[in-house]
Amino acid sequence: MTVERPEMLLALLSLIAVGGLQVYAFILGRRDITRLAKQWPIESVTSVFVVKWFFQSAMFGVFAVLAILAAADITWGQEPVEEDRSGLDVVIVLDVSRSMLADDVVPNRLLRSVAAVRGVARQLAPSRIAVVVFKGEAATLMPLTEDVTAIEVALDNASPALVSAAGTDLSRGLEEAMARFPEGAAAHRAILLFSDGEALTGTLTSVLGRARREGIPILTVVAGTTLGAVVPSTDGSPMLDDDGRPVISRADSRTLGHVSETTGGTTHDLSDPNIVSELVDSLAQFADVRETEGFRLVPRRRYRLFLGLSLVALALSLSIRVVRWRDMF
Amino acid sequence: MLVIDTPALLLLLLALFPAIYFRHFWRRRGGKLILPFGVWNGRGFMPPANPMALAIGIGSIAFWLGVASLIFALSGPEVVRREQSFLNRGADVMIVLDQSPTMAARDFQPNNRFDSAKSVISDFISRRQNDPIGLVGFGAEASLRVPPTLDYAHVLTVLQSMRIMEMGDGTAIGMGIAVAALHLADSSATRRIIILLTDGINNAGEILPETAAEAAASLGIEVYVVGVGSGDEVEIEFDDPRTGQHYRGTVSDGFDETLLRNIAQIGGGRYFYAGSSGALQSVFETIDSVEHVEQRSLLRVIREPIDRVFILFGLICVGFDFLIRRLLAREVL
Repeated sequence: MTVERPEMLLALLSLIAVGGLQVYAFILGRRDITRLAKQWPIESVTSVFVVKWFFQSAMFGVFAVLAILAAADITWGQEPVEEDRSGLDVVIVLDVSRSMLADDVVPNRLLRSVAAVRGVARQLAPSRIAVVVFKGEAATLMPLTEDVTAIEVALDNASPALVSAAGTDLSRGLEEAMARFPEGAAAHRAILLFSDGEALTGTLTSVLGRARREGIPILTVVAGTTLGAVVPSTDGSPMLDDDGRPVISRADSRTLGHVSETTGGTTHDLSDPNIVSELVDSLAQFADVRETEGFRLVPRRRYRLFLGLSLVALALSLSIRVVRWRDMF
Repeated sequence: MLVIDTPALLLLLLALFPAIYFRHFWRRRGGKLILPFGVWNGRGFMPPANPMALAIGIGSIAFWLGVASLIFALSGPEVVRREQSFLNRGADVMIVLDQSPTMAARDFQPNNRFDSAKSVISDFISRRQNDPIGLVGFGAEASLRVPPTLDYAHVLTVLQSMRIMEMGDGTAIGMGIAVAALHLADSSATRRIIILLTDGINNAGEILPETAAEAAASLGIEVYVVGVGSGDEVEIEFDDPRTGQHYRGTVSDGFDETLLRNIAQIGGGRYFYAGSSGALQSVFETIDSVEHVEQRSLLRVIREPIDRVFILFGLICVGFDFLIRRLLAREVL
């Protein structure tokens, strides 16, 4: 089961206010009935009020919870949708944050990634490839093109200086990558992400959900090791934190694993000597399978179940109020 | 276009009419105590019209609008759009644009030659559909600005960022054609075209324009050439992008028409002369009409569910009514 719009679940907090108002209504109701005690058989009216209040509040609460869950777009299971595409468009997303200069893979994470990207671009030809770089912001280094020469020349400039905004915002990189697929293109689409996974800002939920819905797998390549290495500053000396200690960057394979798992991609290790052939095989296999089957599986949305039940609960809540009990209330 | 996935569910909207009756108009409805008052002067007591009654009325309208919205969401509203998907490869078009200082000549009023060229190229790009377009800029040197791509938004962004003299002071026509040919050489497109746009005489670069055109022709690339400028003495004005220095003066040198005709002939394309902004527009419209690869395409129907909007609207409306009844009207049930 997956919640496609988890941010909607925050709306469940509003139920605290709803509950508070219902309790307030209960206190008011009891007080008013007591004031009218001389005119009515107070015990009977009170018991009817309490029972109606309880069930009406419960049903209204159930309505609110289920409607919010419907808006949160819960999915489970999968269903096929037709996929009449052929060929392959790949957007390569390259992390150019300063931590990519750590040398726990030789010569460093960035140069090793660039070498792998070159290899992939050459072997995937004539597939179209785009290159997006990101740090705190993202930029398109190369739009989707068959021109491997242009890609290779552009990769010569890959460095942290390409993007001025500091930080590492993985979501920006992925959003820029999604925007690079032209409308109307007939090829299968995939994203190849090279990063150490240290996403310091941004939330991935939205962009990963979109990639999953549109059938774009994100293959991730973990650059670096869990032991990590010192991050160099601009002059080559170790970058120091506020306490004067060297900043050590460790690869976060868990984040990258989550990215690929959510979108139906695979996770790879940059240190693997066969990384290029592995990536090319994975991409080719993905395109072949889609092309052979002629469909792709998408998450089955269940919002109707929740919304239908919420409307039933609302109808019950109304009925409890509208139907007069014991000819009193 | 808005479509409903399960229109039968809209029949639930009919249930709203009895529901509205029972909630608001049924005399025997519950949730209230009936008080046995006497009748004054033969008339019943009527609740006074006051702001509270108005607020409750607005809340009730919001409530039923909200319920209707939730039922509508249940029926599965979707926005359907058709996306044209091309099954074959279009022609690769590489535009080679002169960025030499003379392109600042103001004989294409109200713009100079360079801005007019950019404007016409932008229009040309916006008319293409499935033809990858690339950009090469040249002055004293030449460089690839964008490889052939269908990402027209990116091409237009780069085109708008191009400045006069950023490739140096000179006109390396041969280099411009050679760079374009290099990046079209490995293209899988069946038709490859270079459109050269210049106002000058070749005076820089290591490759002769004719040689570059021959190389392009040997690769099966057609070269269209557009000579721009009136040939009269014209005022020029521009800023050097590297130093920021402002230049102003006049220029009377035209382009070498014989050379440009030769390039087009060798490259198997055509030569056009554009002496004014309107003529330049016509030239690109001609190229646009001539250079068309037969396209095979299919229409892909894309359905985007929009139920969430209606669910949120419904929740807000029902919540609004709840707040009015509990906070303002102090209803207890």
